[in-house]
Amino acid sequence: MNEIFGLSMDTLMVVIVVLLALIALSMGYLALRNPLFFRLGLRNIPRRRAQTLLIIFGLMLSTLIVSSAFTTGDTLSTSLRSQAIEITGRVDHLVQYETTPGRNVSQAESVVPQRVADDLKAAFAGDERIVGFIRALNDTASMRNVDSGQQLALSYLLGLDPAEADAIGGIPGAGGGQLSLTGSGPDGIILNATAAQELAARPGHQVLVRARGVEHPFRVVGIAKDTLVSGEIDLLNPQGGVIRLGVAQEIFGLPGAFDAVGVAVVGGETGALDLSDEIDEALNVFLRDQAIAEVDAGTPPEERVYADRLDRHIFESTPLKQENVDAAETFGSVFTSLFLLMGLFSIAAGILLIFLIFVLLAEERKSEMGIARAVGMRRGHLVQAYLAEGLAYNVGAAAVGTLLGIAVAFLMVGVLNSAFDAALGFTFDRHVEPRSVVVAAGLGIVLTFITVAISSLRVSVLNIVAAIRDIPEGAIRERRPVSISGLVTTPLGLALLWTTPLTMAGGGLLAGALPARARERLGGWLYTPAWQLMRRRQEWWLTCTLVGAYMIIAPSDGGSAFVYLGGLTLGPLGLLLTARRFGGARIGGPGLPASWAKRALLVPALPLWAALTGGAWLLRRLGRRYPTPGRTAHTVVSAVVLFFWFAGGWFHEDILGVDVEGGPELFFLSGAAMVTAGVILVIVNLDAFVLLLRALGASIGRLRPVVQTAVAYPATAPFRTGMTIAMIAIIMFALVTFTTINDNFARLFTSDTSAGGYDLVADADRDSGIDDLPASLRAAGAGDLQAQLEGVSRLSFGSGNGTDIQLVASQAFDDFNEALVPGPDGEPYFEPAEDAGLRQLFLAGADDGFLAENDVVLQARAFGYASDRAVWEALRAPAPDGRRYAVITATAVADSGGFAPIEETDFKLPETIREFTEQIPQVTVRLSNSAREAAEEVTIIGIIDQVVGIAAITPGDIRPTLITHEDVVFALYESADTVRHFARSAPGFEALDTAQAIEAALQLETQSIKDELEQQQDTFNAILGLFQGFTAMGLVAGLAALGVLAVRAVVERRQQIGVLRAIGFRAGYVRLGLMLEMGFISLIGLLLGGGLALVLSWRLFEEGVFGSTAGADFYIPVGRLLLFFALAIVATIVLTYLPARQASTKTVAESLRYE
Amino acid sequence: MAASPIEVGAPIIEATDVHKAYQGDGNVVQALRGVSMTIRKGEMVAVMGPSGCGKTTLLNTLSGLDSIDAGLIRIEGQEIATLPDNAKTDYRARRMGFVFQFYNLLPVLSAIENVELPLLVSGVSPSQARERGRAELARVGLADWAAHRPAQLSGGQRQRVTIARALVNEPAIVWGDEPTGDLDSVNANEIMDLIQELNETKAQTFVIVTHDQGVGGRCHRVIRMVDGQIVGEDQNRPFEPAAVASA
Repeated sequence: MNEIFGLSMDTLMVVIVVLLALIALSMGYLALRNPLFFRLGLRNIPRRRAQTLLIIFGLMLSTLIVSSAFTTGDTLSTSLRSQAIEITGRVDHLVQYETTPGRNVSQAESVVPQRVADDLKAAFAGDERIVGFIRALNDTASMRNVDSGQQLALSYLLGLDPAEADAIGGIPGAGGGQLSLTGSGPDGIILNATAAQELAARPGHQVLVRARGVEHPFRVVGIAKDTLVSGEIDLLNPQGGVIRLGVAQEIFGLPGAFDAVGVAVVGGETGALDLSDEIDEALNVFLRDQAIAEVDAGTPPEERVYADRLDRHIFESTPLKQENVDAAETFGSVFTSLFLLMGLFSIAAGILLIFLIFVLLAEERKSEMGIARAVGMRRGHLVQAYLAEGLAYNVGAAAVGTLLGIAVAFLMVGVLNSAFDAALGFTFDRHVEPRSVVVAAGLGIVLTFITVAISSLRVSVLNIVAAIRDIPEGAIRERRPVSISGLVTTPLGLALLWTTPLTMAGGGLLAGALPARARERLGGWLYTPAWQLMRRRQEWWLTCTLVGAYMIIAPSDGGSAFVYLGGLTLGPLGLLLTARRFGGARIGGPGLPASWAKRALLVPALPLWAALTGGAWLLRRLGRRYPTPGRTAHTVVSAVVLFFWFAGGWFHEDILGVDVEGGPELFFLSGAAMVTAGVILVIVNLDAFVLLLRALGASIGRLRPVVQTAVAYPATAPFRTGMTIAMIAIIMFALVTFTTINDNFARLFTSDTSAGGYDLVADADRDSGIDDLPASLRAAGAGDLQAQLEGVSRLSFGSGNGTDIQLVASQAFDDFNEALVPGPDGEPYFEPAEDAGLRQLFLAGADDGFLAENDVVLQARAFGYASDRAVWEALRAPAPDGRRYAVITATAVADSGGFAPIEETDFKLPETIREFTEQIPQVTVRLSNSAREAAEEVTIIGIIDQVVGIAAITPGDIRPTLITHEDVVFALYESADTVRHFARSAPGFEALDTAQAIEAALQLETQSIKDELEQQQDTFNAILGLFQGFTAMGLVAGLAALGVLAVRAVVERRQQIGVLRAIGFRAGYVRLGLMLEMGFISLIGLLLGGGLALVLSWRLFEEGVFGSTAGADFYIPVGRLLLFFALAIVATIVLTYLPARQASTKTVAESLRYE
Repeated sequence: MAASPIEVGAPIIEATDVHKAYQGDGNVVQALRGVSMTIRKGEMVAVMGPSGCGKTTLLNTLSGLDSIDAGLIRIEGQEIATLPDNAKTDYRARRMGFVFQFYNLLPVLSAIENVELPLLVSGVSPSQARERGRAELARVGLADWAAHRPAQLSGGQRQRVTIARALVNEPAIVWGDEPTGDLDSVNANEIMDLIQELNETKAQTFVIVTHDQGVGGRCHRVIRMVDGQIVGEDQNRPFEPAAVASA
């Protein structure tokens, strides 16, 4: 894998190595300068061995995630690269007919004439870089092994010239060595390994090849590896065979023509890649020069070979091997990016865990830190000690994390292999690049070092008196006045933070030149000026508010949704910081006095405030008074942030008029923002949960005090409770969102709706000669199968290459894209298209049966059509003006997200038609076939649903497709390149059985639509399951945090536990209490993350953000979600049992003695 | 263990040749070396002696908070050392109360919730527990402070809550480990007034470990310990069971 998120891995490695060197240098410098503080940090490590293990575990999580993602990417890239190289073999480049708008002809017409091959050979005869040229003609055919009786409905038949094949090294044999057709007669065929296996064929067997309705006998002369030159044209259907070129031309009726000229370059299978660019350039220059020469010579278009009637070159060379290798790299990189994206949630949980651990460490050592500060240690010295300790954990954790990450990746590759093996017969070889190991370990160390550094800075801020007396910080901390300079230095320092590595290096050099006294006076400013600037007089409230506000207004139309939604999160949080800064709304602080900041914050949220006040009144009426300072400000802000995220297009687009676009990165931002807001909301209102649980506890007799104490403790430690809830919630959020959305679409995809009202589909290409299924069945002596079929109908695809299309006019939409604009005659006005260029799409013609019976769902209809059926019925007859009507797939909608047109030359509907437009204007287009100089105009009146509709019409194809009456297709094309037959199973018959019977009778690949969709979904699910497992790893961080909290609770509360035991708490109650407490935290995290995810998923599903939902109901995968919950709760019990047991088994007197 | 009805003035705590040793860092510390003593129901006894003499260990072993290595301890006629842990715990919940030097209230619970805790673990209904808890807080003069958490109370108030918690289940014996150790003299006197009043009005037995001569002086009897042994006793004022019983 060479790239990740568009960054070169080599560059990334250099950056990381430099950062590591800077960390090592700075820490080395600190160790030499202040060895005592360094030792102080290191000596803390063996104090609590179990805790050290937990810390290393927490620190390694990020490295593990990165390492496993990289290793998986390496494995995929390397395996696919090897496969790409092996399959293409010695064919490094292909010269082919280039289909493009204005030159879209049928597949039979898009061939390479003999002259091109001859000219190429002559032109490059002296070029030592080129080993040889090989002409190839390929098409589909069915095969039957006479000796074994086995048959293949779909296979590829490739015609090659034996001498040309031998010149580039022959055809690689399945058992090694090279095979050749040179010695065989015209009936010789070499089968590739897949075809031979499916036909149970051996050399000497007779195989009947059926093409264009005629059977041709062949004798197997050899079994070859699955490669391009043995007929592996399609990775999903690799079965094929190779025959002599002349014989293939005769069978397919194309004398003297071929599909492509392969070019073999020196350097063997892999060495040719180095020459790829220059050979490609040379070939294309030659082809273009020939076209220019023809045009310059005034050759009439009908006599030209290289140039078309628009004077464009016709043939093009593509670097086949390089493209395949690039595709393999891209696949590995995309997979790694996806893993990393999902891993971001786990990395976030890991970072929170590190932070929590260091805060707890600091609390444990609070009084000794206080004493150290009292006797003269500076804050910076404490930071140094923590950094030294953290770095020691960090290095160990990076090593363990990298190795474990590799192990996890290898495990995941095993899962992938089972999915791919079943679906494609392909497995991946486990592989890891040393560069990936360095980057993963280095990234882990850098990431963790930064987290440890920030944690150390936070924990080093302490009030010496409070620390020594071990009393709460807030009890002594004084409020400082607002610093005007801080308002400038805080954002300035933040903006310059990126310079820290440079200033650290520069500071080190400068330090040597400065006298000791100057060094002493400059202190941290010498090495980390940006950091010092930022920390000098912290005034974050204004920075956050202003940056948030800027982010909200900055994105222009079509701008970044990440920035906009990030602003909608940061802005309110900035206001909260403002309220805290001026209003004292700190959780656990002295309360929230009425200040301008608070009032300003409350104005837009009066209804919420009223609800909260009412709730508080109710609590008082019930005799429950629980102090929750700052509740209102925190509740309002977090609720507002959640509202922004939950609000759909009606708020952001219709009310605020915002038009922004986002990608998968929004998934992480939504999780981080919503969980942050949710945790704040929960923590400040935890007493409500406590009341509820206490009420429950009232009904369980003696356990009531156990519940009472268990739920009371989390509310008294909001920071650590909040952090732990956040860790669990963010992972649950990712898991539940991912699972829910996937399950909803899987249900849609495999529903009856997706099948479009049919059960069976069979694709017959031009060579099969099957354009009337019932007639073909009768001709094949299988007329009785007709009884198993109902509603037989067909779609005829004009050209497998595409059809030219040009926008003519469209009904005018009003400014709001909601109503049609009438013309002078009162009828809807058709606005002519201006400068509409020629584009391309696939054209399919439906017969009357298909138009009368299909149930394919439309996502949009033209005005005046009340139902999908009305649209389909309209396609059966011409319009009054003689034009036919048409529908088009949603892939032609300009903003259809992931389904958007991928080629620049693909046809797009006018931009007034958007992804969510339900009523569309009619659009008239002109379809043409330049080869026959034929053109037809049709009017588009519907858009096929992009999820459930496309599955039925063009499974697996994401290019735009237009469906009209088949009369239009046959007016443009002499015959169809492909006919797709549809049918329903008659009552009492199974679709799969019928499909197999048709396949056997006609040697025509026939599929049960539902079974096929389910099979695709199964493979997809296996991969998704892998992502879920990968994400769930992060849950371990949250659960580990519970373990850390439980251990800490046992230490902190030893005396309290002693008292409880003394006054009558049984040991079991103590144990149960602690486990309930951790279970309570875990449950809140699970419910919060799961709840936020479900609401967001529901909103996204209902709005059709990931695709049309065809009116389907939102589905909650209760079973799977309960399984996640149950597993997490069981893990909570397991993790907290040991500390709980430890707490309960101490003798009471021992617990009471503890100080 | 069912509490046997014992008359005021009859032995309620009997220790015979009790031994207890602690092991730590390779050293064995003999905390109790053959302690024998008897305390009568309704009596208020102080245990005094220098630091490390075994006072707290004696209190812990007598109350069943800690185990013994040898000897015999009878509380209300029942041998306590051999009871299973749960039975011992239930007995403590019903028949004993504890007052510690540093109050040891649960910081996460309010005063009333701290007080009602022993009742709830004894199976008393929540409403009854709340009612009795309020009454007990009123008795120690903290009726208006029921909803406050320990952090919001002064040292003296906290110790009153502790006493209310110790007495709420009307225990036969109240154990105090330096109950005034963390208080100033005014608060200490108020607390001792309260303890003395409760002892006299409720006939509850108080065993108090203390360094404070003033506290010792307000008890009927002072047991003096040195190096894990009882070395003497002072009778400060006569214990008159009839007077206590009639009160």
